Amino acid sequence: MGEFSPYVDNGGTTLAIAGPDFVVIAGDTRLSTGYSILSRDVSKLFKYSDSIVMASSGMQADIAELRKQLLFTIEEYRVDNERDIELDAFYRLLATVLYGKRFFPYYSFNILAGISKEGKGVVYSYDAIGSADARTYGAAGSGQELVISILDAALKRKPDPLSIDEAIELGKSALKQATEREIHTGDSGEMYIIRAGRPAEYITFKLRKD
Amino acid sequence: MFKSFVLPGKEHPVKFDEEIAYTETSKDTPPVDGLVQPAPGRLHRLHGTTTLGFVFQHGVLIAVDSRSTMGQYISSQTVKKVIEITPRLLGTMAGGAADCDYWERRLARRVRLRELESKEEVTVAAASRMLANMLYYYKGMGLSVGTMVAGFDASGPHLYYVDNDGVRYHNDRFSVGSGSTYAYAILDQEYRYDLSVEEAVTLGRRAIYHATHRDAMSGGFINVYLMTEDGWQRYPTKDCYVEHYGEEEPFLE
Amino acid sequence: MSNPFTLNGGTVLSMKGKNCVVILCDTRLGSQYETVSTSFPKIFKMNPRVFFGLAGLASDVITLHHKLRFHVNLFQLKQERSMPPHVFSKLVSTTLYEKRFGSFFAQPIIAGLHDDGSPFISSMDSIGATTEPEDFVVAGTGADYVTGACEKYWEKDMEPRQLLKVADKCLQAGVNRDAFSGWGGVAYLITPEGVEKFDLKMRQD
Repeated sequence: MGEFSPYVDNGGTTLAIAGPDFVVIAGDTRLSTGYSILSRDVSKLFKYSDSIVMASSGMQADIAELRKQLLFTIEEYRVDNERDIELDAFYRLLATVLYGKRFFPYYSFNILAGISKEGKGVVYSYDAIGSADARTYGAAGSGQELVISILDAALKRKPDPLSIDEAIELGKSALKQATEREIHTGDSGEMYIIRAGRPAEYITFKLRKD
Repeated sequence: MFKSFVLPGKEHPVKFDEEIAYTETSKDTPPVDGLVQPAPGRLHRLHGTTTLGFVFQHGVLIAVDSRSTMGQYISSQTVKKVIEITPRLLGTMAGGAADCDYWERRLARRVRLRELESKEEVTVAAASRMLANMLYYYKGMGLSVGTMVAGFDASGPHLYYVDNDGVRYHNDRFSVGSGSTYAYAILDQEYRYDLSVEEAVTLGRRAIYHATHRDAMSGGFINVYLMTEDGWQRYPTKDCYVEHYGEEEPFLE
Repeated sequence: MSNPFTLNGGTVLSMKGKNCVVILCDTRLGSQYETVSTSFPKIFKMNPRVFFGLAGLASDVITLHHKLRFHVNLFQLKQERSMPPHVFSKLVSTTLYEKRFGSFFAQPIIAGLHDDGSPFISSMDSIGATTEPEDFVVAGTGADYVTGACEKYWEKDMEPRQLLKVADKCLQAGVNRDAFSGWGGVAYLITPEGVEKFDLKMRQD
């Protein structure tokens, strides 16, 4: 028919978990279309500063374009204001950039993780056209349904505060469980561990490759 | 800030929007003809909601739920559906979350600039008209906004309903969203102009709670705002679970 | 057009433990986004050792239940013994496949104990393709969300009380992400000693 088909779903799952003074953000590295795996090593995470990391799933081309627009804008911000952008400003910026394509959306589902001015871990979860809210944890992408219920069961109304080791383990295991049931997720996982006042630490871990 | 919205090539934006924003469960097969829809129901968020507002002797009371859904998936139970425009103006959110959020923030910016220019407070009538005009300009483009603008100005408390058709109504009470019919049932039964503040807060919470019970797309927490001459104040957020059972939801080991 | 599988909503779950099995459901009956009833259980006791959960179109849930009840009763009268769970599972499967080209809009799960006390669970699609996994089975509108939690929290050889706790936690975590399920729940814990019924306290929104 030759219709206008601007979108492809490249799959993948991302998640983030915030604690009192830290936040972890993770994603898998598979890139797929339909039943084909295009690559086993494409990152869904992008570090904008020592304390701001964004995880994006959806369509890789739109994500690349979105990252470029954001990098361009935060560089402008740096030149104009002579300082790095803070998390709360970046949160609004991303919402506005996404809404700028309200009538032709970026096919991307983003989670933003960072440390607020008060030194607290924060997670912002976005829809494709820039609606976002602050949370303590979030999940997005093709394995969202599986991951979010794992995080709900573990974290919702948890009586004792979450430790950083617990958060790392929970993040890893949630991705592993998603990989068991969801075909667009897998190969390997990566994670940024962001602690207040320290540069983000980067780790990788293995996932199923089938 | 961008200068204009990006449009999808030669496609008509409304047709495009309708097809990509197809909201059924993600397992359903996408529409066969027309645009390719890679993962249905993931592009738009928040369609169900219950919000209400009413004018009474002490000002305006606003009560809202906090659920956000994408099709049947509950994407959040902690959405802020009241947008603080100025200390004496509030907006509520029903329809598309991003649409409401963006246009009401834009309204806030315009109201603030106007106040700095004219050194006078913008009236509720004027603010709601600004929003209605902005939405009227984009009428037919597929925006989804159903909002109440509540405020207090020199002429007293006011409540307006504004939506994406460009409509703007003034009245003493409104309820907007998928759960609005349920909320109206309680609100219309028990509303009086001479309610006390305590009665008003209880009524607002009760109406929202009953709507969340019947409407699958509404739920989470109940947020209440009271607008008086001194500006808005926020009442403690109440979990629907607490409203029903009278105790906190437990953590299941 | 509305999807008959999601029109009324509802989720069912069953988990295997050590010589025990638990089967749970929510109790919502909806019509699209409107909750019509909060006391519509989707689990049926077919005999003292076999339970049956059905998620999908409410009219088909009721019809299919009656149809199967008839066959199970007839089996009891003819053979003077209770139908074992794996036999019941086959019965459900063939009953569904009879309507291969105009199927019931419902997905069943079956839970029971064999005579030797070993647990049995199975699930099938709406035309009777059966799986008999060794961990858990889920069906209904909240199946994806419940599956996620089960995948993490299920362990081999859980004792009855722990099994019930874990299953309750997983069902609630899942159902609270699904707009079409919830509003209360019922659980049956089946052990060689007997069957216990539990009402689950759930969010009412």
